[in-house]
Amino acid sequence: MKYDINKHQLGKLVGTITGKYQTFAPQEIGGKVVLAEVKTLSNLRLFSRPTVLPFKKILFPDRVEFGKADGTKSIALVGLHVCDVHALHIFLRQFVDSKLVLRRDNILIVASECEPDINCFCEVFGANRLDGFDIYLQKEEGDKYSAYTNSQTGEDILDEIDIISAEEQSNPRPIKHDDDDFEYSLEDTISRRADFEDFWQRIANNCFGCGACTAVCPLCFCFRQEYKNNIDGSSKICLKWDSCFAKGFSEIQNRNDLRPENVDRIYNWYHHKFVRGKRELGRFLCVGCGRCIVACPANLNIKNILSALDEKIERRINGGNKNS
Amino acid sequence: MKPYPKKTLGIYSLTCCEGCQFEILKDYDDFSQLLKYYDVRNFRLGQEENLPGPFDVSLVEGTPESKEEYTLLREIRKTSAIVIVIGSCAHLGGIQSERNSLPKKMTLAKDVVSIPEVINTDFIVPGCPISHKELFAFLMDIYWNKVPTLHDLAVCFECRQNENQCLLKEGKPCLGPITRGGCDSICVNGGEACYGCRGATDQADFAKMKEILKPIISDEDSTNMMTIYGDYECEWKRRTDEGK
Ligand code: SF4
Ligand code: SF4
Ligand code: SF4
Ligand code: SF4
Ligand code: SF4
Repeated sequence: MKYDINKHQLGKLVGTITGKYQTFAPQEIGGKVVLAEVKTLSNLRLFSRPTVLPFKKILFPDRVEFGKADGTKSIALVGLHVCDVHALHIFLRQFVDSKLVLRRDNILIVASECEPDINCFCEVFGANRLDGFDIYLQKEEGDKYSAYTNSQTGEDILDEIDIISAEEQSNPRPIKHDDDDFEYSLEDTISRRADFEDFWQRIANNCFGCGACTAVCPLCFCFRQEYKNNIDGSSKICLKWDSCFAKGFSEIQNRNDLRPENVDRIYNWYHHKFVRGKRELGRFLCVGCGRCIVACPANLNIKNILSALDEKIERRINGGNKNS
Repeated sequence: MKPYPKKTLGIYSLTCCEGCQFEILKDYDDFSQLLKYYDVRNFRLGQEENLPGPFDVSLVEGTPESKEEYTLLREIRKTSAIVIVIGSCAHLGGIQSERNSLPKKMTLAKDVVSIPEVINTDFIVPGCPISHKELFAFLMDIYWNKVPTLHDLAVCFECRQNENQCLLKEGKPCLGPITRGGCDSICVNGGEACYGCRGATDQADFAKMKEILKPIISDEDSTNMMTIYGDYECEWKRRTDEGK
C-alpha cells in the first residue's frame, strides 16, 4: 500500500512507532549523524547520508555482557537505507541459531530512501531491491512524503495516522538500475589465491591492517570473548567486537599465527565475504554500502578491487548497464 | 573470594614528570580496592615507609638518567618476579628522548634510553599518561594468575567505533593506523590527532604511514610526529625482530 503523508504526519508516524517500540534512528548528536535511540523528534535525520556505524551497533553492541542481552524485547530500526535492510536480513540469518541477536519478528524495519553517492554500489549485488521492510519512506516535493507498507505490521501502524490518501497499486521509485544477472566469477577467482598471489600482495602492501573496514561493515560480525577481572574482585565475560585483522584473532597456542602476514588477513577478508559467506548463507557478505571505502585510512577501495577481479562487476560499476 | 594471599608490589619512578604515578592515585576508591589484593611495599609518592624488595610485581615509570637510576633499575629487575613498564617514557623513551635528535654538541647528556633497552621486562602498560583502569585490569589479571593482554588493533578501529570524522580523510595528519589502540581513540574524540603515545601495532607499516602523510605534512614533520613519545619505529623493530 502507498500512503501520502505530510511532514506533520511523518512526525506522528515516528511518534507512534516510538510509543510502541524502543526506536533507533539516525540523529544529529554532538555534530555527528549517528544511529541512536530516539528521545526527541527534533534531531531526526531520516534521509541522511549513511551513518559511520550501521545497525549492528544496536543489535550487537560492543562489549555486551555475555548472557545479559534481552532476546525478547521489540525494537524499531527507522531510517535504514535499502542496502542496510538487505544487510540486516543476512546479519540475522548469521545469528539465527544463537540467542545473541534479536529475531526478525522482534524488529520493525522502517527504511528510507537514500541518495546514492560515489562510494556505494548496492546494485552490483541486488541490494538496491526494495524489499524486506515493514514501511518504506520516500521524500516527495515540498513537505510531502510517501509511506509504502510491505507487511501487516506496517499497515497497522499507518492505520493509526490520518493520511491524505492511499493507493493499492503503487511501487516506490527504484534505487539505481535493477538487473537480475548476478552470475559473477568472483567466488571462483577469489577462491584461487595462488593464481592471484601478486594481486593480493599488492593490495596487502597498501593496507595498514588496522581493521577500520571491519568495524564499520554491516556484515562483519566477528567477536571475541573478553574475560574481565574487575577491581572489586568480580569478573565478567564480555562479547567484544573483533576483526580478522587483529593478531589475537588468528593466533592460537604458542604464538602460532594462522594468518601471520597482512596479505593472509586481507585475503581472508575477501575470502569470507565472497567465498565462505556465499557458501554458508547464500549471499555475499557485502551489500555495497561503501562504508569501508569511507573508513579506510589507506584509501583502499573495495569497488576498484572487485572491478579488477571481475569484468562484469567492472562494467556494472563503471558503465551502468549499458554495455552488458 | 580471596583464595590467594596478597601479592607484593613496588612502584618506582625514574626520570620523568611522574604523571603515571599520579594516575595510579587518581581514583582513590579504585586504589583502595587494589590494596585488598596488593601489599604496596614501595611507593615514594604515595607513602612514607618504603621497603626494599623482593616483590612479586614492580611497576617502573620514566627513563634512567643517573648512575643511581641505572643501578636501581637493575636492582628492581633482580628482585622482582614481574616487571611492568608503565607509560610512554619507560616504554618508548618519552618526550625527553627528543634530546637524542639534537646535535651532540648542544647537549652534554647521553642519549635517552627506554627501559626495555636496559633490562628485560615482562609487560608494558602504554600511554602518556597510562590509564589507571588499564593498569589495574593488568594487575587484577596478574593477581588471578592470568596473562594480561594489550589491545591488538590500531586506534582506527576504536575511532570508527566512536564514529569520528577521520582526520586523514580530511587532509590532517594522524598516526592512528599504526598505533596500538586500547585508549578508545580518546585524542581523536576530542578533535586532536593521534600522536602514537601507545606505541606501534605489531603489523605497523611505517613506510606506508609516511607515504600517506606525504601530501599532508613535510617529511621532517612526519618524522617529528613519529618520535614525539620516543622512537616507536625503533621500539617496534626491536619487538617484532625478537618475536621472529
Ligand atoms: S581499513 Fe583499509 S587499511 Fe585498514 S585494514 Fe581495512 S583495508 Fe586495510
Ligand atoms: S564490505 Fe564494504 S561495501 Fe561491502 S557491506 Fe561491508 S562496508 Fe559495505
Ligand atoms: S571479514 Fe573478517 S571480521 Fe568480517 S566477518 Fe569475516 S572474518 Fe569476521
Ligand atoms: S582519525 Fe586517525 S585514528 Fe581515526 S580513523 Fe582516521 S586515521 Fe584512524
Ligand atoms: S589516540 Fe593516540 S596519542 Fe591519543 S591516547 Fe590514543 S594512542 Fe595516545
